[in-house]
Amino acid sequence: MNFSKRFPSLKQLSSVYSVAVVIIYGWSIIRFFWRLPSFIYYSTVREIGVIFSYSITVNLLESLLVVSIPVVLSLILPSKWFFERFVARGVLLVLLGLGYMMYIGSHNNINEPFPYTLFRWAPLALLLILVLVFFMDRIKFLTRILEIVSDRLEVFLLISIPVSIISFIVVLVRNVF
Amino acid sequence: MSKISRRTFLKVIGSAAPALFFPKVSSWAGNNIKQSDTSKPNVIIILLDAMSARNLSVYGYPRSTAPNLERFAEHALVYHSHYSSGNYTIPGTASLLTGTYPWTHRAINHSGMVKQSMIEENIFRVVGEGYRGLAFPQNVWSNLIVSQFADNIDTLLPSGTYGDLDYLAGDLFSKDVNTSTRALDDFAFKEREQASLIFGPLLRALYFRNAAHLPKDGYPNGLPNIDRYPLYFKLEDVFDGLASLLPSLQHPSFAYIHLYPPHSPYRATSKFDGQFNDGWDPIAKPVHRFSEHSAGRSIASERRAYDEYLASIDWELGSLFDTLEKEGVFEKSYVIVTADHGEMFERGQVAHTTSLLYEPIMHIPLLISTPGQKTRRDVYAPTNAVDVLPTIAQLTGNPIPSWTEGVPLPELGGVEDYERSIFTVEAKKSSAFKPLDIATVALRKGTHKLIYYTGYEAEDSFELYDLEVDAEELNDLYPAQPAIAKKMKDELLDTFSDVNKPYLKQR
Repeated sequence: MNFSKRFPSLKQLSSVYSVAVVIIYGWSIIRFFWRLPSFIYYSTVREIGVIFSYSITVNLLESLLVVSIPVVLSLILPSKWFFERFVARGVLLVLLGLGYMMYIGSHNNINEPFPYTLFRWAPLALLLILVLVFFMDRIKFLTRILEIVSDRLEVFLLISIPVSIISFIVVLVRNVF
Repeated sequence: MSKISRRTFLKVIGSAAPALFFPKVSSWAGNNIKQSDTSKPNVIIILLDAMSARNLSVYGYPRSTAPNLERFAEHALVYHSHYSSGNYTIPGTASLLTGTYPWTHRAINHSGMVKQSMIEENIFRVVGEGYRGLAFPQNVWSNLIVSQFADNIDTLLPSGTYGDLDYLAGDLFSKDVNTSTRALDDFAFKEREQASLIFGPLLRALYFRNAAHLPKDGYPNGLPNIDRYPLYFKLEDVFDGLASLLPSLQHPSFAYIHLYPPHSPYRATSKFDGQFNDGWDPIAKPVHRFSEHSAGRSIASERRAYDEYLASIDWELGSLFDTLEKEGVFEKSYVIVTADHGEMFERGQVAHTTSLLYEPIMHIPLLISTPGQKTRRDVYAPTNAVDVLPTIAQLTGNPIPSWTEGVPLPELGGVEDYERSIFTVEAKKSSAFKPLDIATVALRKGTHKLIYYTGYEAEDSFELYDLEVDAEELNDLYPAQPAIAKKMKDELLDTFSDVNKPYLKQR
């Protein structure tokens, strides 16, 4: 079995990664701006910047974790199942998986108990997501849209990558020196 | 071979755990880090979060909530009119540790901080010359304040040190505890509305799963935990840990132990659960227009749960005091028992997240056992949490810093001044960087207390009470005593205007 032949290209990776970045970073940044008026009440700009850096560093790790899932699937599954349709299936997997996490996240609000029961459905949800991933990309129209959208979203990597690197360095410096 | 009891085992583990993971702790029992005078007494502050003096039998509460504190009081100074400077953890802790009022240190908001220019003005720095500083802020909110002074603390134990289940992410970043706690535990992985889409819910799910499997023996209402943060603990583990830690402190040391209990949720042990199903009812008080309007029945049951939790904590305090006695700690140390703020169960209000500043929230315990003290002495003059710093400065042979707004406590270098003006400030809805525009301020002077509400309604309002004849604050004298009201109002408004002036300039 030759794994290197099933490793997606940089272009394929960036397409899938950009979708993960937009959702993960977007979710976090929306929450950050929602919280900003409170931060402004008691924190200086520098402190707010460091909090933002920690948050972005978490997002960086999360996005890398998320994109590693389609990569692993591409490596371990037969080429026809995943590698040959990496962008369409990878984007679908990321969209549905993060959609599930967003559903949980939106239920984890101040007035309700933690939605632990939603996690109990995780194996079933995962199975359903995989089934959907494998069947939905047969709809040509849908795969085309996914490819176009993910291609357009790559522009956000031009912002997210440098911001993530700076944030990671900020966190590193504060905890090493 | 003698059998090792569970408690003994926990004590060993309790003291070994921090020593293993935080090498600095082991230095307490090891060689000197600083060249210091070992004949100097240690100073140990044991602060119990949200412990109202009004609910303690040592201060006359009808339920027997604190028999061990009563025992402790027999060889201590008992301050009967001691007040917090704020009405929740952030301002209350910051005032005690900086010796300044909330309008000065500006840690006035939830998750607020002491202003940057005052970071070096703290109790650890004051006693730092020659003393080794240890802090254990078990309450995450107190950790937000204490960790600001980390540069002046030799050993800062993480909040989860004696915990049974700890998912606090900030504790992992020992060099940047303050900001990492704010960024991760208070934002990205917060209990609700997490900014982290993946790790946040996963951590929570893991935490809840493990919490569900925690043995809850002896806690019929569940294990005590930190409200809104992922940390469970057992009272006996925390106090057993302290019973090992405190006698091992080298002389001279300054230890600040900020315990989370009896803060809500109130989780009495089975020994005390149901103990106060006694049918006793406190004096009924009218619902205040600024209260949460909780139902009377719920207030009574919350009060009972709080009292039973207090009794559970007092039981553990008793064990701790026995150990300290046996190890000779009382002979060589100042042991200070106090709180950061009180708790309220009246006028439609439960707990302390309120704009109200009645006695149950402001009146906190202060008991100080001086080295070798054998008899009880009572102090009735009003004192404030800001007085702790100058007192400790004096006790440790350091000059009283010019920036403190407190004075040494009576019997410990200060004098009993019944006419002194002391303040409690609540301003969580105001900006830390602007004049306080939404606030409640209480001025205690002599036997009178004036409460000032500003920014809540179209017009400011006042209440005036004579605590000597009306300890329950039922009879508002503001309209009936215009002379006293005016005098106190003028003083309060002048002070309020003065403290706001520096921020007016920044507008």
